[in-house]
Amino acid sequence: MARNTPRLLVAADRLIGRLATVLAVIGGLGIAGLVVITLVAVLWRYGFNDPIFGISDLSVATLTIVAGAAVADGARHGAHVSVNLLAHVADRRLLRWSDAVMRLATAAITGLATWGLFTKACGMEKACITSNFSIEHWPFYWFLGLSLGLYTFHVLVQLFTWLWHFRGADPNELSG
Amino acid sequence: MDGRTIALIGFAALFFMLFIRMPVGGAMMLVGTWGIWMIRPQAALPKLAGEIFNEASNYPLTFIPLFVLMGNLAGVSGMSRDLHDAANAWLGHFRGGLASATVVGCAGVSALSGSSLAAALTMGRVALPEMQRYRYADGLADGSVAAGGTLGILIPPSAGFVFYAILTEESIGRLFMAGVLPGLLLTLCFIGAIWIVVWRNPDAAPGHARALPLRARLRATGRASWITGIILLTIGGIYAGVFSAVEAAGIGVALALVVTACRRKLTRANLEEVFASTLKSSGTVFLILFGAFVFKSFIGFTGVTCTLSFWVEGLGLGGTRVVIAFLVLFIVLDMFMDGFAILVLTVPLVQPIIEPLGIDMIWFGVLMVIALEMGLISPPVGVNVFVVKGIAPGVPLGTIFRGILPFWCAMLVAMILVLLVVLVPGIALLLPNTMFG
Repeated sequence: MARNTPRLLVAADRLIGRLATVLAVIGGLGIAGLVVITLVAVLWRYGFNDPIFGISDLSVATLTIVAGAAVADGARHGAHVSVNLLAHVADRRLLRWSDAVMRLATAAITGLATWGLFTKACGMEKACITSNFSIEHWPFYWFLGLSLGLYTFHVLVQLFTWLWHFRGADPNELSG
Repeated sequence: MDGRTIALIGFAALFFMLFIRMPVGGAMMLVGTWGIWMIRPQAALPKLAGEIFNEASNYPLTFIPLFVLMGNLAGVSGMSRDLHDAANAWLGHFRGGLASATVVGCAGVSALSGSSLAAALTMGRVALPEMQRYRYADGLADGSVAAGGTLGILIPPSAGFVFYAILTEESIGRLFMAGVLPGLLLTLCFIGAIWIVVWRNPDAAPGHARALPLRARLRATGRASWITGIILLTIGGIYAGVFSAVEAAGIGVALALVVTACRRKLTRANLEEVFASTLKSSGTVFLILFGAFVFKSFIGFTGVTCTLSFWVEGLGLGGTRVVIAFLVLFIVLDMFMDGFAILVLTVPLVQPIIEPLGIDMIWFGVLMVIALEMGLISPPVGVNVFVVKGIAPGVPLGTIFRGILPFWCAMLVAMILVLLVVLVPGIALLLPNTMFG
């Protein structure tokens, strides 16, 4: 963040950074968990010839956590793939405007997805459960909602920072 | 407004969103949700939330973080370097041998990571300084790294095949097996391209390493036996039907962890780096998949695929001609868009057209992935070229793109060979057919 950015935006950015770090740790542990679950499943299936009932439910639950954490972490680190063709044909001024529109559209859809994941989450009452252990789906919907909410928050902070630095240099300017 | 008009507006909007640099996954989610809302408003929000959850909890996708992790561990443990050193020991003393060894090394790393970026980055760091030491032409050196890296999405485990399999509901195992022989064919084509470049212009590779004694070569091969062992176990396990792709990935990660620990590289810093990188790469893939499936649902709602299918049928074109037309389209799109974006955008449209024409979707998948590989080195958006540029910042972009041309042609040759063998089903379908019948 540039020095003359309002404290509120700096604080918001710092908060997003911390939350993203927490999600990254959860995601990292999730990946480690996936390795362990997969290994245990293989060992019991082939080593002891005794497949563990329902272990795929645990894999799926862990994968959902990894996916959610990974999407939020990817947003924070600018890892999401985009087509950078415009930078070859447009000048910096146009890019700043197009990036603002892009961020607005991104915030709109990730925000809508967050809303959808929280409001459409379901559990036992609608048979939204895993096939073996009957783990309810709603906590995972909420976790994904949280991740996409963080993505939305991150993009909005970038958008407001752009607005604040409208006449100067945008610290979040995407590289051409 | 009818479905076709909405589909047309949707595609125009999607291209606009992609043009203004919106993340591919986000753009597809936005347009897909808008399109569904236009056709069936009450389905839009449940579909958006449902598809995100479905993909995040799609068991076969467990493969993605596991194989990315395995590739990253191979990098920090030095196994990737071992592979390059072994290839170098056997090929390095030939004219252009260092470039050939780089391509072989890339093929090996590809068999462990599934990512073209990882292959180009890992091999580039190891091989480029070596080739510069022997005064290789910048175009040949950088071209061999960038092109070799593209093998990552053809040689299994391949993220490209996983995307394709999930979108077309084909078997990941079959697709992986289908990629093995074309991957080896493409490796040979790249080596052939290097040979032709050096034959036409000996100054492109003026120096070469001295031939090592047999014992030194065997020692180098022995050091690489860890990585080749893991590759053989995982890919061999899938081929023999012993493991599923996910199980093979789990075993591969465990073995890679053991090797990393044995080499005393399992430090906290390395672990943090490896897990952070794995999480970032996985996030990239998952967001695209979320968007791809919302968009696929939208396309389904519009019914445009039926219209297109009837239209193609009305033209009276044979299956192979339609496939060739699509491949040409992919090669053109390669110049403007990221390969994965092309894949997730076009497969929902292409599949309903070519499947009724009797085209084998596994065979088409291999051809499509080769076409997308070409995009990784096609100007102006070839990702691998920018990876190599990052490692060798002093080399002008134009030189790298010129150096890539022979490799691009080699890919075209490989694609034509895979296309031709539809007459004698072989290269692409031999392994999946012998494995699954």
